[in-house]
Amino acid sequence: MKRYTAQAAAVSVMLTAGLVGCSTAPEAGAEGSGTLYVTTNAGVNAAWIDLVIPEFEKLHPNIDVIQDAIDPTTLQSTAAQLYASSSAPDVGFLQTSMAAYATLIDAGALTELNDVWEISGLTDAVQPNVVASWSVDDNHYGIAYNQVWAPVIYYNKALFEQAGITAPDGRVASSSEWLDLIGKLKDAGLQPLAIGGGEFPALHIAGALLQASSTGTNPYSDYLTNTLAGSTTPALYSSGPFLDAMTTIDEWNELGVFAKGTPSMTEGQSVSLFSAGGAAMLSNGSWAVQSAAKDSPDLDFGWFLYPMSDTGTETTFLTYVGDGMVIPKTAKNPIAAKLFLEYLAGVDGQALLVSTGSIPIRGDLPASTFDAFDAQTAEMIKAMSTLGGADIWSPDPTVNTAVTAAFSQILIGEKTPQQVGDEVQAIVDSLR
Amino acid sequence: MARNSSVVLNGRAAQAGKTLLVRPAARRRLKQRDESTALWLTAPALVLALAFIVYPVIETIRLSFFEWPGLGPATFVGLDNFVGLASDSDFATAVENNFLFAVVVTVGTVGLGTAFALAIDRRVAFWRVYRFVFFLPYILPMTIVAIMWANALDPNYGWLTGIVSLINPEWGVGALANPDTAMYVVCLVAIWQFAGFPMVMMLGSLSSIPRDIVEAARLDGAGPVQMAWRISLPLCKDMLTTVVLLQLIFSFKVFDLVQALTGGGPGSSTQVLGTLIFREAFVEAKFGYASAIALVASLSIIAISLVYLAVLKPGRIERQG
Repeated sequence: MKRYTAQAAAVSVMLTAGLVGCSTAPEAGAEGSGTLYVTTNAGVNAAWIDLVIPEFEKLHPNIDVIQDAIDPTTLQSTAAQLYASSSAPDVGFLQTSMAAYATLIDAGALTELNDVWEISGLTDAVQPNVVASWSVDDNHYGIAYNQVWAPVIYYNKALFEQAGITAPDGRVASSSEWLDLIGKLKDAGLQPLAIGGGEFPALHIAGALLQASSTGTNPYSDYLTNTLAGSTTPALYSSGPFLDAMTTIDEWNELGVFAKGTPSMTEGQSVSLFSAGGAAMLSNGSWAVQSAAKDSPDLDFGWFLYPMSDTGTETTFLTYVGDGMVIPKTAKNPIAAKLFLEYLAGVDGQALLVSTGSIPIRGDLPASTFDAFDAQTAEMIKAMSTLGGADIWSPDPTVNTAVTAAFSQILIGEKTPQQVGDEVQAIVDSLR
Repeated sequence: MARNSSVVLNGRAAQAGKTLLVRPAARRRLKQRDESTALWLTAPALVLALAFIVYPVIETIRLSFFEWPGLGPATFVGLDNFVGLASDSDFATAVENNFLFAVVVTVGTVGLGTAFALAIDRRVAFWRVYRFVFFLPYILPMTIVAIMWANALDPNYGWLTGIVSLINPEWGVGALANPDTAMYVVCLVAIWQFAGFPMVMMLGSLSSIPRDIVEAARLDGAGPVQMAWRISLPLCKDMLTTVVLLQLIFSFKVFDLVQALTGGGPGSSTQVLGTLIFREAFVEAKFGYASAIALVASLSIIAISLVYLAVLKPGRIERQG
């Protein structure tokens, strides 16, 4: 009996070992050769890599690049486990605002890329805030590749004309101008503003209104850092500018600013609604220009910044520089991976980015590179020098989730602005 | 003859009414061989069960006492995660919605499925068509179902929203975008999709009712309702109990339908435990807290199932025929 039991146990152990060892093992590449697996974010990031691959392979004929584009929601929820696994890609998309970014760095699962920054000249070619955003203890664990801004309000020129509205120049100057504009649109039987209230654009509107409500004593710059552990800036969420921002959302909802179904609307639905003329305005990021133009090539639209509050500060472009590419520690072909990142961060790779409608992270590209931009993006880049720019509000992931949900919760009456403020304050206090 | 020392070796011997005597040592050897064969045969299943059921369950229980971002070392926090649940309004909302969903969907699917089964079992006109049509939604992929209904109920362009807003303009906001109706719409979609499962199960059970009982009842003048209420349902009680239990468990575990249809929104009006666990673990990287929710949810399902089985005591119906 013991013999049979021992045999069965041995088979069990072998089977278990077999199961555990059943991971795929991509071929190891020699120096600068072999297959390079790149995981991208489906959409603009993947479109850019599509353009990069043939050019990179021309330069490095011994490297074969294979791209795997994953939808953003799936990538956000699986990036940490994927990039730390033995089946990790050689290069992967990651954002500094994703919980996975800090998790992977803390676990020592990302390759340090200081040499890539130096070789590609990225350190000297970008703004200091980009270097800061991608530095952890003076080291870089990813490369930044683009900048986006959000939110901007896009408007349908024909519908504004129909409602007898002259579009604001650059930004809405006051609350009264904004409310007058909304009133005219409603009088004309139009839905004023489309926004993906069930998704990340909800955080962006909160950020824009936070900036608009910030004052000298409660500056917007404090909010950029005060959800981080160890921050010494005062956290004001249950009162002050954040509460004012939440109250403004509530008031706008009462006034009928938002289109039907906003609390559960996805970003894609909001763009479609705007593109089809179902709403006169769209609140979204710089990337939406491409989406709207793709949905409706004949749509003639312009843009302006969020309205200033009567007591707060001037609204500006809010820029995000957290889109990047990383190399997992378990990458099978790290040498080719670094060559690939050097190309992405270099002048040639960045120039290819322009044709996808994205704004390169480098500031040293030839002026002619930007000729490929669409009219709206080119206009916004030009206007940035006069209207100004600041970092986007990108809080800790827990605060991010809470505020994103809070937008819908306020709209449907599930929570009051004060309740939201108190809850976010409690989260921030626990983080700090 | 000592009964314990006899072993029936084969069917032929049994048919002949013979019992072969086997010495105790030989009997022990036979028993050992049987046991070893059983071990060999069950070893693969045992390994799979250990790797994919037992280990994850133990790990989930362990993690519920830790704070862990998904990678790297975990920090022991004792009962903090469970204490946190007590004051978490999102958790309370998810529990409430989960119970609502489980009850409404179980009652709806089993009720509707049983009604369909009773009608089809009576061979009403076009019963084969009905059987196919009612079962069809069940085999559709969940995501397809979610997209289909989300499009139909889109607040701005949904065809169903357009129709209902003709009846009442206030309904034009879209039932999935309205926090007062969203959870019920999710339930209706689930009932629409899953009613085919109890229908098929009940059809199988109904077909096993002896025809002479049915004929006797008909001769006694029992109408369709009496037949269903006094003959069919009592004789199918075991199956009904099983179907209710399975449906209750399926409903309590719901995740994909809600995630694809509403993502838990608007606000948290359709948040259920499955979507909350997903958010805490994979969006906020709070695997310990998510494990605590999963543990509480699992224990709740087990408790409900045990209470249900204790109350209904399946298998105690004595069939007479």
